[in-house]
Amino acid sequence: MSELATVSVAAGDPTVVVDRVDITYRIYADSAPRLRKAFVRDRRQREHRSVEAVRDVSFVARSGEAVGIVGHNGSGKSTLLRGIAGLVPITTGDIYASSIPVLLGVAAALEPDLSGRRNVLLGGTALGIPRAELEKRFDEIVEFAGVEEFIDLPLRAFSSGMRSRLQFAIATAVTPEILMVDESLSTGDAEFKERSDDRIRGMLAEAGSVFLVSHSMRSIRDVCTRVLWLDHGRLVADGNTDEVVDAYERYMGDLKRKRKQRKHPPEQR
Amino acid sequence: MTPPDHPRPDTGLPEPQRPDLPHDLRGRWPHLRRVGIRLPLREYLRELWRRREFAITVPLGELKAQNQDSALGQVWHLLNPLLLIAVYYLIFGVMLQVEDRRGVDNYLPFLIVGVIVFNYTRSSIQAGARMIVKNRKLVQSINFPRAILPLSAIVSEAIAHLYALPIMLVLVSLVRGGPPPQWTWLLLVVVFVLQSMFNLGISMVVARLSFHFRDVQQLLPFILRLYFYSSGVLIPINTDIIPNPTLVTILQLNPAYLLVEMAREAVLVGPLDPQVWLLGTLWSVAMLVGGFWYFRAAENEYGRV
Repeated sequence: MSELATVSVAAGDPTVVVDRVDITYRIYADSAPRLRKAFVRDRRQREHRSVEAVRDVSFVARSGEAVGIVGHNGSGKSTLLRGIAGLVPITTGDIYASSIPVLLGVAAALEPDLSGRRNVLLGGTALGIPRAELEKRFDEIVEFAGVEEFIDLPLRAFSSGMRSRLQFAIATAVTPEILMVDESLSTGDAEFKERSDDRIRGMLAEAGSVFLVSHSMRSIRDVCTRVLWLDHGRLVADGNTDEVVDAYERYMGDLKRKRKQRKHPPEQR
Repeated sequence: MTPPDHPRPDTGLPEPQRPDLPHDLRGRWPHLRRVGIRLPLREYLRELWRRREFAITVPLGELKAQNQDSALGQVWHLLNPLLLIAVYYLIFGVMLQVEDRRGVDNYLPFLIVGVIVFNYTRSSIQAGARMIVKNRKLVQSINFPRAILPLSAIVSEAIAHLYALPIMLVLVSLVRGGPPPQWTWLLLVVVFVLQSMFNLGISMVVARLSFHFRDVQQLLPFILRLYFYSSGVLIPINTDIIPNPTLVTILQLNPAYLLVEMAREAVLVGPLDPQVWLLGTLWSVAMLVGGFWYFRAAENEYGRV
C-alpha cells in the first residue's frame, strides 16, 4: 500500500472494486452484552436481529471519479462506505481498494475530553500521518477549520460544526487517495462547504477518488460525476449524476405525494 | 430473521449490471488490496509500524496533562506504591512479624521490590482493559491496526515504571538489611523487557475481553486483588506459609510470581534460580504471542458501531 502522502494510482485506474457484496450485521436486544447473558438459557434474552444492510452491491470506481451515493434513510449508504473503509466486516463478496480509504463519517472520530490540539495529533497519527508532518501543517489545519481560538480547549467546547470542520481538515491534511465523506449529518456552513468542495476538487485533479453520501442533491450535483442509488441495501441505479439524481428526485417526490394522499384521502378534502 | 422484502423502485433507468471483472484481478490491477479481511501478519505489523508515533503521542500527552492537573500530579504516580509499601510493612512486617515467623530475611526490601514490580503488571492490565472502550470513537471512524491501542497503554505504563525502578533501587539500598548495589542489578533490564512483553500480551487479552463483556472492567479490581495475593508479593510462596505442596507448586508457576521472583533475585542477595528465569521467559513469550493472536482474531469487530 502506498505511503499516505502521494497518490500513486494512474488516472482512470480502478481505486475501489466492490464485487457482489453483502453486509449483514446483528443487533443485540441489549446494547452491550453482559457476561450473564452468555449463560442465559432463555433464548429470548439472547435474541438478536439480523439486518441486511447491503445486498449484492457491485461497482467499480476509478481514480478521478467523484461518486455520489443517494438513497433513503437506512438504505445502507453509510454501511457500504464503512465496509469499503474496512470498518465493518463483509458478509459475502469482495471489496478491493488501492489504499485504506479515509472516511469522514457520521460517527465522530475525535475525543471530547481532549483538547483540539491533542485530537489533531491523535487523529493524524492514527491515520498514519507522520508527527513531523502534522506539526508542520498544524497551523494550516487549524486555519482551514477556522478554530484557532478554540484549539487548546477540550473538544467538548467546540460546536458540532467546528468538530466536523476540524475532522475534515485533519483527514485531508495530507491528500488521501480515497476520501469518503458521509454528509448525512450536514454541519458545515456554506462558506466552509465551498472550501471543502475546493479541496475535494483538488484531490480529484490529483487522481484521487471521492465518495460522497448526502441528502442534499445540490451537494451531489455540485461535486459528483457519477451517482449510485441505494434502496433497502440494493443498488438500483448507477450512472451519470444528472440522470440518476433526476430519477431519484422524481421517485422521492412521487413517494411523498402518495404518502400525503394516504393521509388526506380525496373524499375528506 | 430478515425484514420483509421491499419491492424494487421503478427508477426509469437501466438496472446496474455487475461489472465484468478480470479473473485474475490482483494480476491485472496489482495496486488493489482486499479490504475487510484480516491483513496477513507481515502487513499488519507494517501498518502498526507506520503508526508507531501514535503509541508515543498518547503517553506523552498524558504525562503532560498529568503535570498540568495537579502540582503533585506526577509525584502521586510514585507516591502511591510507596505509601502501599509503608502500609503493608506496618501490617505484615511490624504487626504480624512475617519476617521472623515465616523465614523471610529482610522483609522490607522484599516488600519494596514485590510491590513495585507487581504494580507494573497490575496497571498494564487495567490500562489495557480500558483501551478499546475508551477509544471507541477513533476505532469506529479510522481504519488502523487496533493493536496500537494496547501498545500505547503499555508504553505509558513502561515509562512510569522506568521512573519507579531507580527509586526502588535507591530505597532498597538505603533501608535496613538492604543489599548494596551489585552487578546483578543489571539483570533488571532483562526483567523489564520480559515483563513488558508479558504485560503487552495480557493487556491485549483483557482489552478484547472487556470489549466483548463490559462487566470485565467491574470484575477486574477483584481479580487483580486475588492475583496480587497469589503472587508472593506480601508473603513468600513456600511450604512454611502454605502447607499444601501441590498448591505451592502451582502458585510458583504463576507468571506474576515468576516476574517478581526474578526481580527479587536480581536486586536482593538471592541465588539466581535458572528454573525461575526459564519459566519466566517462556511465560513472557507465550503471553505476548498468544495475547496478540487472541486480540487480532477479533480485529474486524472492534469498529462495529
